[in-house]
This record gives sequence, C-alpha cells and structure tokens, in this order.
Amino acid sequence: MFLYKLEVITESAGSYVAVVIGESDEKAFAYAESQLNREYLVPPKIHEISLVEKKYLQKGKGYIIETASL
Amino acid sequence: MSEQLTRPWEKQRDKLNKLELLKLERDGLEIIEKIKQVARQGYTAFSEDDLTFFKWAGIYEQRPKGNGLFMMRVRIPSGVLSSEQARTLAAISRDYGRDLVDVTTRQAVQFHWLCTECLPDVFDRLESVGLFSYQACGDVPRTIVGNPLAGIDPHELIDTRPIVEELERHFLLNPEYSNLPRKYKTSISANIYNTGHAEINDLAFTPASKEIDGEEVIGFHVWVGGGLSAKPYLARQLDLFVRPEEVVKVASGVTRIFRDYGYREKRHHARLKFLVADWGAEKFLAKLLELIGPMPGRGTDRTVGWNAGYFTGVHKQKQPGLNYVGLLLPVGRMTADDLDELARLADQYGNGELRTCNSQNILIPNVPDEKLDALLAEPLLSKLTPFPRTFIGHAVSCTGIEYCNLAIVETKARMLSIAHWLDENVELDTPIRLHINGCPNSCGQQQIADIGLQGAKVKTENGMIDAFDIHVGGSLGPDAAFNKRLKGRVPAERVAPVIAHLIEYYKANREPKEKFHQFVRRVGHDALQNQLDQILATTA
Ligand code: SF4
Repeated sequence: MFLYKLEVITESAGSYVAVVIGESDEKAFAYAESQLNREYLVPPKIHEISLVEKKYLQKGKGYIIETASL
Repeated sequence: MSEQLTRPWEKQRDKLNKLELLKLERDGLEIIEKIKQVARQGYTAFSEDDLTFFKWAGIYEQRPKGNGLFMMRVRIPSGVLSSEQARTLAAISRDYGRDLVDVTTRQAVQFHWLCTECLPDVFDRLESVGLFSYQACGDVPRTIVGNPLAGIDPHELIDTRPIVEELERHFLLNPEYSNLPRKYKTSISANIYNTGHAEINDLAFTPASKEIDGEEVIGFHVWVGGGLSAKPYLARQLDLFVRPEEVVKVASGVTRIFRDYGYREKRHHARLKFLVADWGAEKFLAKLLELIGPMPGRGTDRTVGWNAGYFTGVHKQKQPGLNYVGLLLPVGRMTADDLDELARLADQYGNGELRTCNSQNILIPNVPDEKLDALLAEPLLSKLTPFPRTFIGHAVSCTGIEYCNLAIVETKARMLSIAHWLDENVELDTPIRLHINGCPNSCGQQQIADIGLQGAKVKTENGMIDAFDIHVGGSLGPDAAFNKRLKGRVPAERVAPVIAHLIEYYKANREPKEKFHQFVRRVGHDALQNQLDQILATTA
C-alpha cells in the first residue's frame, strides 16, 4: 500500500494536489478523481491528472503542499 | 564506544522517530552477522525490523517488495577497482544477479535479483577481494566518492587514493558511526575540475593551497551540508584549510557533530544539510574546532571548473608514456561478461586496474602508448565505445521502475531511446548533460543536469502514460546552481523532440563557447519556458 501524490488540473475549477492511499498506480488515479468529485455537485472536467510521487504507507508519512495562500 | 553509550539524542526519546527508537535497541551493523547466520533459511527467517536494517548491509528489497529478492550496492571508494575485484563482481552477477552490473552516480556497483539464500556467499566472495556492500546504504557513512583519475591525473594537486583508503578504513564497520541520523555522503578529490561533485555531498574535500610559514602547502577546503533528494542544497564551505594528513581528523569531527547534533525527529529533516542550514557555517566550524582543536583558516581555492565525470576517449596521464581510456557504459549498465572482459583488458593492456566514474562510466588506466592501438581494436570497445556520440555519451539514469519500489516511471531504457534519438537528429558541438529520475528522490541527480527529466504518470484517454517534467540549467563547480523546472509535463514520446527544439534554440542564440547552463542563466528561465510553451501548443 502506498501514499500517493497526484496533481490535477481542471478545465474550469483550478488546480489541486490530491493525496490518496492506494494499492496500485491505476487505483491511485481512480481514488484521486473520486475524491475530487466529492467536492462538487457537478464535478469539473479534468484537463490533466498526473501521479508525481508515492511513499510507503506508514505512520507519519505525508506530503507538505505549498499553497499560494491559506 | 564510550561516546556511543552517552548518546546525547537518547535523552529526548519523545523527539525520536520510530526508526530512531529501533536504532537505539540494536546496532544496524549487527544485521550483517545475522544475515550470515540465518539467510540460508530463506526470506521468512527475517522480521520486518531485520529487513529495515538490511540497508546497513547495503541491501534493499527489490520491486515488488516482499518476494525475497534484493538489490545490493557495493562500495568502490573513489572508483578504484582491481581486475580481481572486477572478476569477483562479474561472477556474483552471473551466478545470482541475472548478469546485470550497474555503475551508480556515486561510483558504486549495484546488483539486482539477489535471493536471500545467496547473501552469505556474496558477502564472503566480496570480502575475499577486499570489497564490501556493508554501509553502502542505511544511516551510515556511504562509500567515499572521489577523483576516478586519482594518482594518474594531470589535473590533480595530489594523489588522493591513500587519503580515501585511510578514511574508508576509519568509517567502515566502525560502531562510532553506525547510528547516524540519516545517510551520510563524503567526497574527496584534488582534481581542479571538481570530479568529486563536492557541493552535493554531506562532507566534501576540494583542492586548495595555503602559504604557511613561507611555504605553499597543498591541502583541502571543506564543504558541509550538500545533498540532492527532493529538497536539494548546495554544500557550504567552512573557513578551514586541511592538510592531507588531517583529513581523517576533520571527517571524524564533522561526522561526530552530525551524529550527536543532527536531527532525528523526522526522517525527511535529518540529513546534515538541515543542521548546517540552521547553524550556519560559522557555528558549525566553531563546534568542529571545539572537537578537533585549532586549524588554519581557508587558503586559496584551486577548483577552476567542473568536469561532471566524463572521461571517454584516450587521454594522457601525468606519467609520461601512459594513458587512460574512458569507455561508455550506456546509462551505467553492463553484463557480467562485459565486466569480465574489462578485467582481461585491464590486465593485458593496463596495470590490472579499472576505475568507475560518477557519470556511470568506466575507464582503463595505465595503458602504455605502444599498447593503445591494440586496445582500441578489441571487440569490446565497439560495444563500450571510448568515442560515443554526444548525447549517449552524457546521459545518466537512475534505476527506475524496473527494480525500484518508489519509481513512478521506467528510466534507463527511456534515457537510451531519448539519447539515441537526439544523436540521430541533432548536431551538437558542445555536450549537453542529460539526467533522468524516476521519482523526486533524485538518485539520477537530475538537479545538476543541463537538462534534467523527472518522471510522472499522466492519465490519458488511452490509459496511463509516462511523462516528464523538464528542468534546465544545472551545474556544479564555480558557478554551481541547480536546474529549474519548466512548467508543462511532456509525454514521454515527445521528450526527445522537445529537447531537440530547446537545443536548436540554444544553438541559434548562444554566444561563442557558451555552455547550455550558462546560456539558460543568461537568457533567463522565461525564455526557455516560452520555447516549451510554443512546442507544447503544437500537436505532436
Ligand atoms: S530516483 Fe526514485 S525511481 Fe529512481 S532509483 Fe531513486 S528512488 Fe528509485
């Protein structure tokens, strides 16, 4: 099991970083899309979704994601 | 050992990560004896904790984890290898490693496919010729990188082989250093073109001189806190001049500072670079002098440029009448038969020595003038050529998805195809160094490349494809700086033509003798970004 980091660029709703747990690269894409869709009544169209990093799933593992503002 | 007992970091156990707590319970190096005793019973004889400590023996689980197959790294300090050692490595690869031998970006050798049961025999065979996988991975001093031309180099101030050997003896299997906060990489080179890649090591010694009591003394300057990975930092120079006979004393002091003051709370915040960033060079030096006593201040830097480890071709040694012949190992990979044959060539034409380079290539030193033609006519040299074409001759790759558990994409075959395509389609008189990483961990050192590629997977209508982020303008040496990412992920199939476009732009706009990284810094990142935007706006 891995902790995945994916980058999602949508056509109309900006860009996101998705962090998901998954057993394979394929599943990581599906989970990331599903997580994104849960945020919207009408899910945005995805322009590009990329898997950029994976880490073993262990306590304490994570990603720090830079944001423009909080 | 007495210092080990006090272990200053032990006092604040709540500030230690899980592995640190485990490292207090057992010495990582004990795993070597356990592997020797137990490995013949098979993979299941080892606990999960045992497998964590396998790294201290230089062994990683190969992808996919859990099937009892391993990658093993072997230390080759400064890249110096005898023909006997080379034959031993070849035999291990043939008997257990499916014929593969990889040379790494730190001059080490890596095997894949090793089974659990074979590990004791591999240890024995390595030890019998003075080679070790021990401490090639793990939170310990790793193999010492250095000048692959040490002792034969017209551009070195002194022969660094005895110093590297002495420090290797000091570091290896020394329980004083078996529990560092994280990996610890050392470089020693007296070559004036920075063949040791000083700035990306935790500790580096670079050539320097200083007038002391009216005499010019040759020695070293000291750099601390460099490293790549996902958060790259260039090492900082200390105000210190070190005589050759004092290298071990200084290295020992720096390593003890790292051991006792380095951070152990979070693994991703534990390399020496974080302590150096917090303390600054002055405080670090003050602590070092407290440990090792007074030392003279900095002298004159003698580094004048950077050769990234590329020595293909035939070159004169400092010894009259002798030559070294640098051969290309495409992306660092060769077969067991290749290595055996290299050992034969080293015996027949040289003095029985080989040298591995941090460009993942290899060279045969000490070839007399009169034997050169016959060596160049050997069949192996049509495969591992001393005269490679430009791009394949300057291409570096990490292990990638073939064997690495953290990889996102395949790298070695990809780099081969990119470099071959460029060699067929782009004319170039100034080499451009290409590096590729399969994930952000940067074993392929993409940040120091003229053009660095970092892999990602992109989902398309036709499924997942490999794609790459392109980074431009990296270098080490006097104008050291990491490359920077261009926005826009490039599908793998388009990477070669995209690079070709960037290179044509460079060729059309460069100044005389301007190297690619210098060009990028002069015209600015945005200019390259514009070029990439234009190419990506067109369909493939
Ligand atoms: S850079 Fe990433 S993919 Fe490549 S060998 Fe290192 S960890 Fe594996």
